[in-house]
Amino acid sequence: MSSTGLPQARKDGIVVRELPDELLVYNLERHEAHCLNQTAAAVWRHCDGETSPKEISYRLAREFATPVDEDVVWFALDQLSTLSLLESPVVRPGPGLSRAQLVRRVGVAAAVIGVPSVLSLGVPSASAATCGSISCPNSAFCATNQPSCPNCVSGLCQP
Amino acid sequence: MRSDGSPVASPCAQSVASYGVRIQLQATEPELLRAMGDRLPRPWRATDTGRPSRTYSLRPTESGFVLAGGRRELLAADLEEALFLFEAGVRFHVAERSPQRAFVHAGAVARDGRAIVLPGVPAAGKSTLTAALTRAGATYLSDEYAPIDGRGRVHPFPKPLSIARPPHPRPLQQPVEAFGGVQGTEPCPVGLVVFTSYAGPKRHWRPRTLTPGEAVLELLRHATSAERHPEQTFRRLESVVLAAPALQGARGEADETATLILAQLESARPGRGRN
Repeated sequence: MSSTGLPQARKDGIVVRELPDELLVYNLERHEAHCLNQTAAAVWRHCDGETSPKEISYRLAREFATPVDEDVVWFALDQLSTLSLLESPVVRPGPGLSRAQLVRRVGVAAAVIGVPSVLSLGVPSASAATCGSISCPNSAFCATNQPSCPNCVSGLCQP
Repeated sequence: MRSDGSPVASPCAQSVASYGVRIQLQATEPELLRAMGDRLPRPWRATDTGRPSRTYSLRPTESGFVLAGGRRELLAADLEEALFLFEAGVRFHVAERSPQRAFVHAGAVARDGRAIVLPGVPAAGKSTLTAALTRAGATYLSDEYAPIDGRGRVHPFPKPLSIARPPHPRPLQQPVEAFGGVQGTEPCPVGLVVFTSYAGPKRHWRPRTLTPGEAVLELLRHATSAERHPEQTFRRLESVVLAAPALQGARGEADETATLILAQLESARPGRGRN
Protein backbone atom coordinates (compact mmCIF):
# COMPACT_ATOMS: atom_id res chain seq x y z
CA MET A 1 0.00 0.00 0.00
CA SER A 2 1.02 3.60 -0.51
CA SER A 3 0.84 6.22 2.21
CA THR A 4 -2.78 6.56 1.20
CA GLY A 5 -3.31 2.87 1.97
CA LEU A 6 -4.09 2.12 -1.65
CA PRO A 7 -2.23 -0.39 -3.83
CA GLN A 8 0.83 0.98 -5.57
CA ALA A 9 2.81 -0.86 -8.20
CA ARG A 10 6.46 -1.39 -7.47
CA LYS A 11 8.68 0.91 -9.50
CA ASP A 12 12.25 0.49 -8.25
CA GLY A 13 14.48 -2.48 -8.90
CA ILE A 14 12.41 -3.91 -11.70
CA VAL A 15 12.51 -4.07 -15.48
CA VAL A 16 9.17 -3.98 -17.28
CA ARG A 17 8.60 -5.09 -20.86
CA GLU A 18 5.29 -4.83 -22.67
CA LEU A 19 4.29 -7.70 -24.94
CA PRO A 20 1.18 -7.70 -27.13
CA ASP A 21 -1.12 -9.38 -24.56
CA GLU A 22 1.19 -9.77 -21.59
CA LEU A 23 3.47 -7.82 -19.34
CA LEU A 24 6.87 -9.07 -18.26
CA VAL A 25 8.42 -7.90 -15.00
CA TYR A 26 11.92 -8.80 -13.85
CA ASN A 27 12.71 -8.21 -10.19
CA LEU A 28 16.40 -7.30 -10.19
CA GLU A 29 16.78 -7.77 -6.44
CA ARG A 30 15.14 -11.17 -6.12
CA HIS A 31 16.07 -12.43 -9.60
CA GLU A 32 12.49 -13.37 -10.30
CA ALA A 33 10.68 -13.01 -13.59
CA HIS A 34 6.93 -12.65 -13.87
CA CYS A 35 4.55 -12.84 -16.79
CA LEU A 36 1.26 -11.05 -16.15
CA ASN A 37 -1.67 -11.87 -18.38
CA GLN A 38 -3.77 -9.06 -19.79
CA THR A 39 -6.07 -8.78 -16.78
CA ALA A 40 -3.36 -8.91 -14.14
CA ALA A 41 -1.35 -6.38 -16.16
CA ALA A 42 -4.34 -4.04 -16.36
CA VAL A 43 -4.83 -4.19 -12.60
CA TRP A 44 -1.11 -3.61 -11.98
CA ARG A 45 -1.06 -0.55 -14.26
CA HIS A 46 -3.87 1.01 -12.26
CA CYS A 47 -2.06 0.52 -8.96
CA ASP A 48 -0.95 4.16 -8.67
CA GLY A 49 -1.36 4.53 -4.90
CA GLU A 50 -4.42 6.73 -5.44
CA THR A 51 -6.99 4.32 -6.75
CA SER A 52 -9.02 1.91 -4.66
CA PRO A 53 -9.68 -1.70 -5.74
CA LYS A 54 -13.31 -0.80 -6.37
CA GLU A 55 -12.35 2.15 -8.57
CA ILE A 56 -9.88 -0.11 -10.41
CA SER A 57 -12.75 -2.50 -11.13
CA TYR A 58 -14.76 0.39 -12.63
CA ARG A 59 -11.83 1.40 -14.80
CA LEU A 60 -11.33 -2.16 -16.01
CA ALA A 61 -15.02 -2.38 -16.83
CA ARG A 62 -14.66 0.67 -19.06
CA GLU A 63 -11.49 -0.68 -20.70
CA PHE A 64 -12.88 -4.13 -21.37
CA ALA A 65 -16.46 -2.97 -21.99
CA THR A 66 -17.85 -5.54 -19.56
CA PRO A 67 -18.75 -5.53 -15.87
CA VAL A 68 -15.75 -6.40 -13.69
CA ASP A 69 -16.34 -7.62 -10.16
CA GLU A 70 -14.12 -6.16 -7.45
CA ASP A 71 -13.16 -9.73 -6.56
CA VAL A 72 -11.36 -9.96 -9.89
CA VAL A 73 -9.21 -7.01 -8.85
CA TRP A 74 -8.56 -8.48 -5.43
CA PHE A 75 -7.62 -11.80 -6.99
CA ALA A 76 -4.96 -9.98 -8.99
CA LEU A 77 -3.84 -7.86 -6.03
CA ASP A 78 -3.36 -10.98 -3.90
CA GLN A 79 -0.97 -12.42 -6.45
CA LEU A 80 0.85 -9.14 -7.09
CA SER A 81 1.25 -8.61 -3.37
CA THR A 82 2.56 -12.12 -2.71
CA LEU A 83 5.12 -11.71 -5.50
CA SER A 84 6.35 -8.33 -4.20
CA LEU A 85 5.14 -6.50 -7.27
CA LEU A 86 3.48 -3.88 -5.06
CA GLU A 87 5.33 -1.32 -2.96
CA SER A 88 3.68 -2.74 0.16
CA PRO A 89 1.54 -5.81 0.74
CA VAL A 90 -2.20 -5.40 0.48
CA VAL A 91 -4.60 -7.07 2.85
CA ARG A 92 -7.90 -8.16 1.48
CA PRO A 93 -10.94 -7.45 3.63
CA GLY A 94 -12.43 -10.86 4.31
CA PRO A 95 -11.45 -14.25 2.93
CA GLY A 96 -10.00 -14.60 -0.54
CA LEU A 97 -11.42 -16.65 -3.35
CA SER A 98 -9.81 -19.56 -5.10
CA ARG A 99 -9.52 -19.46 -8.86
CA ALA A 100 -12.45 -21.86 -9.21
CA GLN A 101 -14.58 -19.84 -6.78
CA LEU A 102 -13.79 -16.67 -8.68
CA VAL A 103 -14.79 -18.20 -11.99
CA ARG A 104 -18.04 -19.49 -10.50
CA ARG A 105 -18.81 -16.17 -8.88
CA VAL A 106 -18.08 -13.75 -11.68
CA GLY A 107 -18.71 -16.20 -14.50
CA VAL A 108 -19.10 -14.58 -17.86
CA ALA A 109 -17.12 -11.48 -17.03
CA ALA A 110 -14.12 -13.61 -16.10
CA ALA A 111 -14.47 -15.45 -19.38
CA VAL A 112 -14.44 -12.17 -21.28
CA ILE A 113 -11.48 -10.52 -19.61
CA GLY A 114 -9.71 -13.65 -18.28
CA VAL A 115 -8.92 -14.59 -14.71
CA PRO A 116 -5.89 -12.59 -13.52
CA SER A 117 -2.86 -14.77 -13.76
CA VAL A 118 0.82 -14.27 -12.98
CA LEU A 119 3.34 -16.86 -14.09
CA SER A 120 6.57 -16.63 -12.11
CA LEU A 121 10.08 -17.98 -12.29
CA GLY A 122 12.95 -17.80 -9.85
CA VAL A 123 15.77 -17.30 -12.35
CA PRO A 124 18.36 -20.01 -11.69
CA SER A 125 22.00 -19.22 -11.26
CA ALA A 126 24.22 -19.82 -14.27
CA SER A 127 25.71 -22.92 -12.69
CA ALA A 128 22.29 -24.32 -11.82
CA ALA A 129 21.22 -23.79 -15.44
CA THR A 130 24.06 -25.97 -16.67
CA CYS A 131 24.89 -28.23 -13.74
CA GLY A 132 25.01 -31.90 -14.63
CA SER A 133 25.42 -31.00 -18.26
CA ILE A 134 27.95 -32.37 -20.63
CA SER A 135 30.29 -29.84 -19.05
CA CYS A 136 30.35 -32.05 -15.98
CA PRO A 137 32.34 -35.05 -17.20
CA ASN A 138 32.03 -36.92 -13.94
CA SER A 139 31.38 -36.43 -10.27
CA ALA A 140 34.95 -35.44 -9.56
CA PHE A 141 35.17 -32.37 -11.79
CA CYS A 142 32.73 -29.53 -12.05
CA ALA A 143 33.68 -27.38 -14.98
CA THR A 144 31.40 -24.59 -13.86
CA ASN A 145 33.55 -24.21 -10.76
CA GLN A 146 30.94 -22.15 -8.97
CA PRO A 147 30.79 -22.27 -5.18
CA SER A 148 27.21 -20.99 -5.44
CA CYS A 149 26.12 -24.10 -7.31
CA PRO A 150 23.65 -26.09 -5.17
CA ASN A 151 25.26 -29.34 -6.30
CA CYS A 152 28.78 -28.31 -5.33
CA VAL A 153 29.82 -30.25 -2.25
CA SER A 154 33.33 -29.47 -1.13
CA GLY A 155 34.31 -28.71 -4.68
CA LEU A 156 32.82 -31.90 -6.12
CA CYS A 157 29.82 -31.99 -8.38
CA GLN A 158 27.20 -34.17 -6.72
CA PRO A 159 23.86 -33.61 -8.42
CA MET B 1 48.70 -16.82 -31.07
CA ARG B 2 45.48 -15.01 -31.90
CA SER B 3 42.49 -16.80 -33.34
CA ASP B 4 43.43 -15.29 -36.69
CA GLY B 5 46.92 -16.84 -36.43
CA SER B 6 48.98 -13.74 -35.64
CA PRO B 7 51.60 -13.99 -32.87
CA VAL B 8 51.44 -12.48 -29.38
CA ALA B 9 54.18 -11.00 -27.24
CA SER B 10 54.58 -13.41 -24.33
CA PRO B 11 54.85 -17.14 -25.08
CA CYS B 12 53.64 -18.43 -21.68
CA ALA B 13 51.12 -15.88 -20.51
CA GLN B 14 48.48 -14.18 -22.53
CA SER B 15 45.48 -11.98 -21.92
CA VAL B 16 42.58 -12.53 -24.26
CA ALA B 17 39.04 -11.28 -24.71
CA SER B 18 36.20 -13.46 -25.92
CA TYR B 19 32.67 -12.08 -26.22
CA GLY B 20 33.80 -9.14 -24.11
CA VAL B 21 35.12 -11.34 -21.28
CA ARG B 22 38.79 -10.83 -20.39
CA ILE B 23 40.74 -13.95 -19.47
CA GLN B 24 44.36 -14.54 -18.55
CA LEU B 25 46.03 -17.74 -19.76
CA GLN B 26 49.22 -19.06 -18.20
CA ALA B 27 51.22 -22.18 -19.03
CA THR B 28 54.67 -23.55 -18.34
CA GLU B 29 55.39 -24.12 -22.02
CA PRO B 30 54.45 -22.30 -25.21
CA GLU B 31 52.89 -25.47 -26.61
CA LEU B 32 50.50 -25.69 -23.66
CA LEU B 33 49.54 -22.04 -24.05
CA ARG B 34 48.88 -22.61 -27.74
CA ALA B 35 46.75 -25.64 -26.92
CA MET B 36 44.72 -23.57 -24.47
CA GLY B 37 44.25 -20.89 -27.13
CA ASP B 38 42.92 -23.53 -29.50
CA ARG B 39 40.17 -24.35 -26.98
CA LEU B 40 38.99 -20.78 -26.38
CA PRO B 41 35.51 -19.79 -27.57
CA ARG B 42 35.87 -18.11 -30.95
CA PRO B 43 36.17 -15.38 -31.89
CA TRP B 44 38.75 -14.17 -29.42
CA ARG B 45 41.54 -11.65 -29.56
CA ALA B 46 44.66 -10.87 -27.59
CA THR B 47 44.36 -7.82 -25.39
CA ASP B 48 46.48 -6.02 -22.85
CA THR B 49 43.81 -3.73 -21.46
CA GLY B 50 41.50 -4.34 -18.57
CA ARG B 51 41.67 -6.70 -15.64
CA PRO B 52 40.96 -10.34 -16.41
CA SER B 53 37.91 -11.77 -14.71
CA ARG B 54 39.64 -15.14 -14.40
CA THR B 55 43.11 -16.60 -14.79
CA TYR B 56 43.57 -20.15 -16.03
CA SER B 57 46.93 -21.86 -15.69
CA LEU B 58 48.11 -25.24 -16.88
CA ARG B 59 51.21 -27.09 -15.77
CA PRO B 60 52.45 -30.66 -16.03
CA THR B 61 53.12 -32.76 -12.94
CA GLU B 62 54.54 -36.22 -12.42
CA SER B 63 51.07 -37.75 -12.53
CA GLY B 64 49.40 -35.62 -15.18
CA PHE B 65 48.44 -31.97 -15.41
CA VAL B 66 47.14 -29.38 -13.01
CA LEU B 67 44.59 -26.90 -14.31
CA ALA B 68 43.95 -23.92 -12.06
CA GLY B 69 41.04 -21.59 -12.63
CA GLY B 70 39.29 -19.32 -10.21
CA ARG B 71 39.81 -20.65 -6.72
CA ARG B 72 40.22 -24.30 -7.65
CA GLU B 73 42.85 -26.64 -8.97
CA LEU B 74 41.88 -29.72 -10.96
CA LEU B 75 44.16 -32.69 -11.50
CA ALA B 76 43.88 -34.29 -14.92
CA ALA B 77 45.34 -37.65 -15.90
CA ASP B 78 46.53 -36.42 -19.29
CA LEU B 79 46.67 -33.33 -21.45
CA GLU B 80 43.49 -34.14 -23.34
CA GLU B 81 41.53 -34.34 -20.10
CA ALA B 82 43.10 -31.11 -18.85
CA LEU B 83 42.16 -29.33 -22.07
CA PHE B 84 38.63 -30.76 -21.96
CA LEU B 85 38.19 -29.36 -18.47
CA PHE B 86 39.70 -26.04 -19.49
CA GLU B 87 37.44 -25.76 -22.50
CA ALA B 88 34.29 -26.59 -20.55
CA GLY B 89 35.24 -24.17 -17.78
CA VAL B 90 36.21 -21.25 -19.99
CA ARG B 91 33.11 -21.65 -22.18
CA PHE B 92 30.93 -21.57 -19.09
CA HIS B 93 32.81 -18.54 -17.77
CA VAL B 94 32.25 -16.64 -21.01
CA ALA B 95 28.59 -17.72 -21.15
CA GLU B 96 28.03 -16.46 -17.63
CA ARG B 97 29.93 -13.17 -17.88
CA SER B 98 29.60 -11.90 -21.43
CA PRO B 99 28.35 -8.31 -21.56
CA GLN B 100 27.86 -8.58 -25.32
CA ARG B 101 25.48 -11.51 -25.72
CA ALA B 102 22.67 -13.22 -23.85
CA PHE B 103 23.76 -16.83 -23.50
CA VAL B 104 21.16 -19.59 -23.42
CA HIS B 105 22.09 -23.17 -22.60
CA ALA B 106 20.81 -24.64 -25.85
CA GLY B 107 21.57 -26.38 -29.07
CA ALA B 108 21.18 -24.26 -32.19
CA VAL B 109 20.99 -24.93 -35.92
CA ALA B 110 19.92 -22.87 -38.91
CA ARG B 111 17.92 -23.54 -42.04
CA ASP B 112 17.43 -21.06 -44.89
CA GLY B 113 18.93 -18.27 -42.82
CA ARG B 114 16.73 -18.78 -39.74
CA ALA B 115 17.87 -20.33 -36.49
CA ILE B 116 16.19 -23.03 -34.45
CA VAL B 117 17.07 -22.76 -30.76
CA LEU B 118 16.73 -25.87 -28.58
CA PRO B 119 17.06 -24.89 -24.91
CA GLY B 120 17.13 -27.77 -22.51
CA VAL B 121 18.14 -29.01 -19.14
CA PRO B 122 21.27 -31.15 -18.98
CA ALA B 123 20.82 -34.64 -20.43
CA ALA B 124 17.60 -33.63 -22.20
CA GLY B 125 19.05 -34.81 -25.49
CA LYS B 126 19.97 -31.45 -27.01
CA SER B 127 23.08 -32.77 -28.72
CA THR B 128 21.26 -35.80 -30.10
CA LEU B 129 18.50 -33.62 -31.55
CA THR B 130 21.01 -31.08 -32.82
CA ALA B 131 22.89 -33.86 -34.60
CA ALA B 132 19.62 -35.17 -36.10
CA LEU B 133 18.76 -31.71 -37.40
CA THR B 134 22.18 -31.38 -39.04
CA ARG B 135 21.71 -34.78 -40.64
CA ALA B 136 18.37 -33.52 -41.95
CA GLY B 137 20.08 -30.60 -43.64
CA ALA B 138 20.26 -27.84 -41.05
CA THR B 139 23.46 -25.89 -40.53
CA TYR B 140 25.14 -26.42 -37.18
CA LEU B 141 25.59 -23.40 -34.87
CA SER B 142 26.08 -24.87 -31.38
CA ASP B 143 25.19 -27.80 -29.15
CA GLU B 144 25.88 -26.08 -25.85
CA TYR B 145 25.21 -22.35 -25.74
CA ALA B 146 23.27 -20.05 -28.04
CA PRO B 147 24.69 -16.50 -27.86
CA ILE B 148 21.98 -13.97 -28.72
CA ASP B 149 22.78 -10.41 -29.76
CA GLY B 150 20.80 -7.18 -29.41
CA ARG B 151 18.93 -7.86 -32.64
CA GLY B 152 17.76 -11.26 -31.45
CA ARG B 153 20.17 -13.14 -33.70
CA VAL B 154 21.93 -16.34 -32.70
CA HIS B 155 25.66 -16.48 -33.33
CA PRO B 156 27.63 -19.65 -33.99
CA PHE B 157 29.34 -20.96 -30.86
CA PRO B 158 31.04 -23.95 -32.39
CA LYS B 159 32.69 -26.89 -30.80
CA PRO B 160 32.53 -30.62 -31.53
CA LEU B 161 29.20 -32.14 -30.56
CA SER B 162 29.32 -33.83 -27.16
CA ILE B 163 27.51 -37.15 -27.24
CA ALA B 164 27.08 -38.80 -23.84
CA ARG B 165 28.22 -42.43 -23.68
CA PRO B 166 27.63 -43.72 -20.15
CA PRO B 167 29.26 -45.16 -18.18
CA HIS B 168 32.27 -43.46 -19.77
CA PRO B 169 32.92 -40.31 -17.74
CA ARG B 170 33.75 -38.13 -20.74
CA PRO B 171 31.37 -37.54 -23.65
CA LEU B 172 32.42 -38.46 -27.14
CA GLN B 173 33.50 -35.32 -28.98
CA GLN B 174 32.61 -35.50 -32.65
CA PRO B 175 32.92 -32.78 -35.28
CA VAL B 176 29.67 -31.82 -36.98
CA GLU B 177 31.09 -33.13 -40.23
CA ALA B 178 30.95 -36.64 -38.72
CA PHE B 179 27.16 -36.27 -38.79
CA GLY B 180 27.20 -35.07 -42.38
CA GLY B 181 26.64 -31.53 -41.14
CA VAL B 182 28.02 -28.12 -41.98
CA GLN B 183 29.29 -25.53 -39.51
CA GLY B 184 27.47 -22.20 -39.73
CA THR B 185 29.59 -19.08 -39.73
CA GLU B 186 27.06 -16.23 -39.72
CA PRO B 187 24.55 -15.05 -37.11
CA CYS B 188 20.91 -15.84 -37.93
CA PRO B 189 17.61 -14.40 -36.71
CA VAL B 190 15.67 -16.92 -34.66
CA GLY B 191 12.88 -18.62 -36.59
CA LEU B 192 11.76 -21.15 -33.99
CA VAL B 193 12.36 -21.98 -30.33
CA VAL B 194 11.73 -25.57 -29.24
CA PHE B 195 11.64 -26.71 -25.61
CA THR B 196 11.74 -30.49 -25.65
CA SER B 197 13.27 -33.49 -23.98
CA TYR B 198 13.44 -37.16 -24.85
CA ALA B 199 10.57 -39.17 -23.34
CA GLY B 200 11.03 -42.58 -24.96
CA PRO B 201 10.90 -44.06 -28.45
CA LYS B 202 7.10 -44.32 -28.61
CA ARG B 203 6.46 -40.69 -27.80
CA HIS B 204 5.25 -38.58 -30.69
CA TRP B 205 6.12 -34.90 -30.60
CA ARG B 206 2.91 -32.87 -30.23
CA PRO B 207 4.04 -29.51 -28.93
CA ARG B 208 1.91 -26.67 -27.69
CA THR B 209 2.64 -23.08 -28.64
CA LEU B 210 3.79 -20.89 -25.77
CA THR B 211 2.75 -17.29 -25.45
CA PRO B 212 5.65 -14.87 -25.90
CA GLY B 213 5.66 -14.21 -22.15
CA GLU B 214 5.75 -17.90 -21.30
CA ALA B 215 8.56 -18.34 -23.80
CA VAL B 216 10.67 -15.61 -22.19
CA LEU B 217 10.29 -17.26 -18.79
CA GLU B 218 11.26 -20.66 -20.22
CA LEU B 219 14.29 -19.14 -21.94
CA LEU B 220 15.31 -17.44 -18.70
CA ARG B 221 15.32 -20.87 -17.06
CA HIS B 222 18.23 -21.77 -19.35
CA ALA B 223 19.95 -18.38 -19.62
CA THR B 224 23.41 -18.47 -18.08
CA SER B 225 23.83 -14.71 -18.47
CA ALA B 226 20.62 -13.78 -16.62
CA GLU B 227 22.13 -13.63 -13.17
CA ARG B 228 24.91 -11.16 -14.02
CA HIS B 229 23.24 -9.24 -16.83
CA PRO B 230 19.51 -9.58 -16.15
CA GLU B 231 18.26 -6.49 -17.96
CA GLN B 232 20.26 -7.11 -21.12
CA THR B 233 19.33 -10.80 -21.14
CA PHE B 234 15.67 -9.99 -20.54
CA ARG B 235 15.53 -7.57 -23.47
CA ARG B 236 17.34 -9.88 -25.85
CA LEU B 237 15.12 -12.82 -25.06
CA GLU B 238 12.10 -10.60 -25.59
CA SER B 239 13.33 -9.74 -29.08
CA VAL B 240 13.60 -13.46 -29.81
CA VAL B 241 10.05 -14.37 -28.77
CA LEU B 242 8.52 -11.42 -30.60
CA ALA B 243 10.09 -12.67 -33.83
CA ALA B 244 9.71 -16.43 -33.48
CA PRO B 245 7.14 -18.91 -32.22
CA ALA B 246 8.09 -21.08 -29.26
CA LEU B 247 6.93 -24.68 -28.94
CA GLN B 248 7.03 -26.98 -25.93
CA GLY B 249 6.51 -30.73 -25.66
CA ALA B 250 8.25 -34.03 -24.99
CA ARG B 251 9.63 -35.90 -27.98
CA GLY B 252 10.38 -39.40 -29.21
CA GLU B 253 13.13 -40.37 -31.59
CA ALA B 254 15.41 -37.55 -32.67
CA ASP B 255 15.28 -38.14 -36.42
CA GLU B 256 11.48 -38.13 -36.54
CA THR B 257 11.32 -35.06 -34.33
CA ALA B 258 13.91 -33.26 -36.45
CA THR B 259 11.72 -33.69 -39.53
CA LEU B 260 8.70 -32.30 -37.66
CA ILE B 261 10.70 -29.36 -36.30
CA LEU B 262 11.95 -28.41 -39.75
CA ALA B 263 8.37 -28.55 -41.02
CA GLN B 264 7.32 -26.23 -38.18
CA LEU B 265 10.08 -23.81 -39.12
CA GLU B 266 8.89 -23.87 -42.69
CA SER B 267 5.33 -23.06 -41.67
CA ALA B 268 6.32 -20.29 -39.26
CA ARG B 269 6.38 -17.09 -41.21
CA PRO B 270 9.06 -14.56 -40.28
CA GLY B 271 7.84 -11.74 -38.07
CA ARG B 272 4.98 -13.66 -36.52
CA GLY B 273 4.92 -14.07 -32.76
CA ARG B 274 3.28 -17.48 -32.98
CA ASN B 275 1.93 -19.80 -35.57
